[in-house]
Amino acid sequence: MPRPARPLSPHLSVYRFQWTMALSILHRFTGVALGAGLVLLTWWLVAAATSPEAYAEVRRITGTYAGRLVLLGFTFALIYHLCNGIRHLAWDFGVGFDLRTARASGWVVFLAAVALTVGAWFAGYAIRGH
Amino acid sequence: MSAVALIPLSVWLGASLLSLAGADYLTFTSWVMQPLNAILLVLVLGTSFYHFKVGVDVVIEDYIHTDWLKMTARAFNLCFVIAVSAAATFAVLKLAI
Repeated sequence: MPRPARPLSPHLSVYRFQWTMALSILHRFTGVALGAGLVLLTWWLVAAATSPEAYAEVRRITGTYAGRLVLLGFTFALIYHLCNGIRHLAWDFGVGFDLRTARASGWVVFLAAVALTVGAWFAGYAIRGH
Repeated sequence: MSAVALIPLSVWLGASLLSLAGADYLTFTSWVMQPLNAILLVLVLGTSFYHFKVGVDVVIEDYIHTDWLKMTARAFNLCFVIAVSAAATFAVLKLAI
């Protein structure tokens, strides 16, 4: 099918790069990544429903450094997408849509997501012990 | 609005997963067996998979402009979500019932 002769969205190349744009891209990226997180969660549940051995294997793999790194990424993706999702919901109600507020709330969301991720992992290690 | 429902649900899920980090088989399965946990798990899974489906549909709409390709991608998205969510939900029910 030939491409229609009208402007197509999104025209990323015509925009000057800016902070709020990076956050928007990150929202989309973390959203798709959380799909992989859902598969991970499903894998865990299915293993638990299959046998203690299958569960132990998942536990072993997720316990490795690479596994933990993936889980750390999953934690950040979930927390960021959640915080930024609330920001998007506020926009849906017409709140905070002006540039100044949108930039400021972007910083708040990003820093909060980083802080909450670090906090969650500290809590996790504190509870677990190692 | 699956996004609104996912605010409390994903906070619950995140807190639960945090408390279950590194849990052994017995701890994990007995947690899933609790009726309230099983119900909330099914809810958060269903809502998350639905939310993922509509989100990825928007991404497909934005980046794929060839009609048949767009339809194919959306069909794959739907099949993926149905298949994986069925497996996840079945696993929860198998453990809980």
